[in-house]
Amino acid sequence: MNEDVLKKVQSNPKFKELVHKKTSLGWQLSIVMLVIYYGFTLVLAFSPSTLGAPLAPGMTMTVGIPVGILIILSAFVLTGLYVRKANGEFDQLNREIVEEAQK
Amino acid sequence: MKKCTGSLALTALSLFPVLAFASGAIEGDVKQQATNWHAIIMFVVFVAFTMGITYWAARRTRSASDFYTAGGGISGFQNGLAIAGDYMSAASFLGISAMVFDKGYDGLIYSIGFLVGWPVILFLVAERLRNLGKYTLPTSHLIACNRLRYAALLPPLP
Repeated sequence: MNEDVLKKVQSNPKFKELVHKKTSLGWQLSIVMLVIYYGFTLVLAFSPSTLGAPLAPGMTMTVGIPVGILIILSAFVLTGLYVRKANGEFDQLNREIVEEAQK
Repeated sequence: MKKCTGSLALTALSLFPVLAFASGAIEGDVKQQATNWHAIIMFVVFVAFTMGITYWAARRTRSASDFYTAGGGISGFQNGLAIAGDYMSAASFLGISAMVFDKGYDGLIYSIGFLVGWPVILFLVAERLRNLGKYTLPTSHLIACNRLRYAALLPPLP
């Protein structure tokens, strides 16, 4: 890539928008994921009886199992959100930036 | 070659104390089980099959890009299968079943920890690493900006 094209891309407001949006989305989703996970771990550490309670009286399965499965599913959902954004909005912006740089 | 034989001899030597310990393991009234030929044959077939695939793939590998990313020719679905294979690995099957055996259902929390790391890698590291044109974090380490370096520390934490 030569210097001119590089400068053109870097000074394009759409490029700055893309970088900003991508970075902030990445951090937002990461924070959501980490809050969910560490929240679960902290509840487990400081109040084991909350998640250790049986689902229904006399049942072996505890509340922790469905909650754990929900956490795994939340990882899928967050990944899905990111992929949707990346394939839709970000790729669109990316295409526009490439087209404008080729002019 | 000389160095090689030297290290082989060293390895052999280092095994001797282990062998001394081993002698005490089978004592008393021990009944040997019948040889499990099914397990042995399955194991050999599995290893041979894996080696065959490796040999086949190695012949087609020409560059670093081929080696790390299959020349960029892996589809999202194939990559997903590979990651699922990572997740359902020996660590999950043997490690977690052992944890559940030992600690009860508490052991299952480890299977959540594995999975939570991946989205964080995707959100913070994956694309930057790809844009750098490097294949592993250590190779990108030297040229990566400081921010990426710290971001790369996060996923292994869970």
